[in-house]
Amino acid sequence: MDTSSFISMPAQFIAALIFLLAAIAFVAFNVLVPRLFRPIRPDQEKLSNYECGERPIGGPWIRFNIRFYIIAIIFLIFDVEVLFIIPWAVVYRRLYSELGMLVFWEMFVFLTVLGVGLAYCWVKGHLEWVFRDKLAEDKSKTLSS
Amino acid sequence: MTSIQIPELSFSLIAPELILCTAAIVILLVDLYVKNVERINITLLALIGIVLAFFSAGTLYGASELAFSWLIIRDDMSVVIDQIFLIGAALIVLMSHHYSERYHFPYGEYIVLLLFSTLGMLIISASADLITLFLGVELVSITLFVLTGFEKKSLLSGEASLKYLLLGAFSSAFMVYGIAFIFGMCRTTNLISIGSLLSEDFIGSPLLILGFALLLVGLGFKIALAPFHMWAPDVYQGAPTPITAWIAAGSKLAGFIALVRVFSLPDISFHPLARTWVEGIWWLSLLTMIIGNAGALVQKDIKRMLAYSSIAHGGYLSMAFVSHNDVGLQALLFYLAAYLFMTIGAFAVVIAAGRHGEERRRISDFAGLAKRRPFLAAMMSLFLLSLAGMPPTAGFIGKVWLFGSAIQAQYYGLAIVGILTTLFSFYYYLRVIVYMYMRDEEKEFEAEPLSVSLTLALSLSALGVLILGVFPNTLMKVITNSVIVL
Amino acid sequence: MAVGLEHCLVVSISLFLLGVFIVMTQRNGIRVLMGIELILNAANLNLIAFNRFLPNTDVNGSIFAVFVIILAAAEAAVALAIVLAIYQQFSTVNLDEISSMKH
Repeated sequence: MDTSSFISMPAQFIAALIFLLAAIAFVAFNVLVPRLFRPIRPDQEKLSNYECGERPIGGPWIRFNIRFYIIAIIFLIFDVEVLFIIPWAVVYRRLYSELGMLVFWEMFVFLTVLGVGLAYCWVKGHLEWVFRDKLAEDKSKTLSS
Repeated sequence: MTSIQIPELSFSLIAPELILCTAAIVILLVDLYVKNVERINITLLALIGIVLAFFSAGTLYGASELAFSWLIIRDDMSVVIDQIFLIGAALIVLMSHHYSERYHFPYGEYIVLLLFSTLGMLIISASADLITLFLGVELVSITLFVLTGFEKKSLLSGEASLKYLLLGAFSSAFMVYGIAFIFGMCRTTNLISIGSLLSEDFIGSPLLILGFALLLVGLGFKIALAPFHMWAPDVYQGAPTPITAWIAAGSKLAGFIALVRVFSLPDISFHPLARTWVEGIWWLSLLTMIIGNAGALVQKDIKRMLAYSSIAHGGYLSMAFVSHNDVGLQALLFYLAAYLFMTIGAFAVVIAAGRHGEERRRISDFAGLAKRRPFLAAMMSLFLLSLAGMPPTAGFIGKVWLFGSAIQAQYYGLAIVGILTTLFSFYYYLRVIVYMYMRDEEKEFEAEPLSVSLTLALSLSALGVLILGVFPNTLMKVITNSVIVL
Repeated sequence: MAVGLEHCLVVSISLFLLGVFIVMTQRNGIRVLMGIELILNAANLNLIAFNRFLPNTDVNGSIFAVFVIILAAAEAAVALAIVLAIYQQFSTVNLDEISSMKH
């Protein structure tokens, strides 16, 4: 904070260097050292999925429907926006007494913009499970024929 | 617990940003709900939004205020830069109108993303806090990642977009980490408070220097300074050409403005910290000039060549931070404006010279262009000569001013390297001109008539280059005044 | 032993270096993204630790952390979308195989 701390800057650099080296050493230790010491004796039980005698039904690497990813993306975006809303809700009452409706309108605008995004997803058809519907139609067709 | 400070809301100060944002949302809704909307209408809507934002920015001249609890600064410099950005955005919209007809991508969404990236740039230019700065940088980056991958059928476009995304996100992460250290040492993220704190206290903490260094690395990635430039050629080559132009011009401009906002903090010119990072940028600038120009010499693809030329220009531009005086800052702003026009112009010619499925990508494809398309060849020569720095173009004035600022600050070595690499750069710029005028075409390219929008974009950029070259006084005066106010 | 600023900083810089290590060594696009998220979270930890343990800090640090989380989510969403598109074209997300440009 004072000038003397600036004058002793090289000494502080050494501190930072040690800090950095310690962190690198920590990472290197955790990555490399266990590799040296741990015994590597794989057997069939160890390589099985759960290592506890539970027999898995089918492989885990099945293909997920691509719709899952798109829905996950949409969910992620809207889910995280809650981070803005919760702090707002916490201080809403206090700010309302000082600012009045302005507090409300600010969040209103934010949610409207989010709503435009939701409308976009909706109109483009990303909220519907299109593929399953198609499959169901095909199934009913094959059943009826 | 301290009482929450109620920010003074001065919406008129951010009118350009609000108008642009509204325009983007309106276009999104129109594109969604109006069936079979004509592309020309979307273009017109976007242009109206940009023009309105341009004029509303114009009314803000003379304001010198901090608003929204010191998140936003509105000074003359930010207004000049906003207007430069908006002119650039209008040119890109015009180019995109032509280009999207050729490749049929979802035009409404494309324009919306383009406007949002412009919005990010405006936010950067008006940011007085690391929060707004970071938000602006991220808005620009994320929209450009998507736009780079817009040509879904092209392998190059997808690859470019993935590379840009990974390196862009990596550099953002570095930036955030640096900002965290700056916050820890200064206990605030406000740039103005940081500036006054540094000028009073002379904090020489290594963690602070580490923070600024990480921030510099992050921004260095965004503007492709030399050791961090690897992504640029691939991304420039793969992206749709109007987006390449926007990355080269707009995004680079935005990165430099972010650097200006962070590293030209008021009152710290005499701070020892300034000396440390001036030294850092000295090396970056030197390396960038040499690597950019050397790389451009051996390129065969015109977009890659322009990418390396843009890297080299990043080197010239960062010289302004080394000289670290008012002249340097003024020269930087002027050269950024000039650079915007000539880069966008050069890429507009690249678009105009090709047609669907038959782009003129290699430099040898430009052979004989002068015979077939004399107008395009003349335009290309003008932009390339300006990039090289021939009088009477804008590039010449900008370079003289920039190198002058380095000489004034007694960085003779850097100025000499700048001048020498500029001389080298004539080789690869003139090579294209030689191809266009002196060689016969090897392969016949069918002509596609010039559309109105592309002609407009071309002639406006050419006008910009010539006006800034022949009558630079107007912009010079505006810039000089705005920097003095700062 | 009470957890202090130093502990947070050491954890954070370890996370940071792990993230950089992952980005440098992994060739799978998704894993590289995970490394980037680690770096972002290291920065968040730093911001919040500084805000919590240092006197006289303004609240901007925590606000910044909120924005970083949001932007990390936005970036991850865009990244997933781009990786999906890439996978449809190249049938791989290995960065060494996604390289078609002439140098």
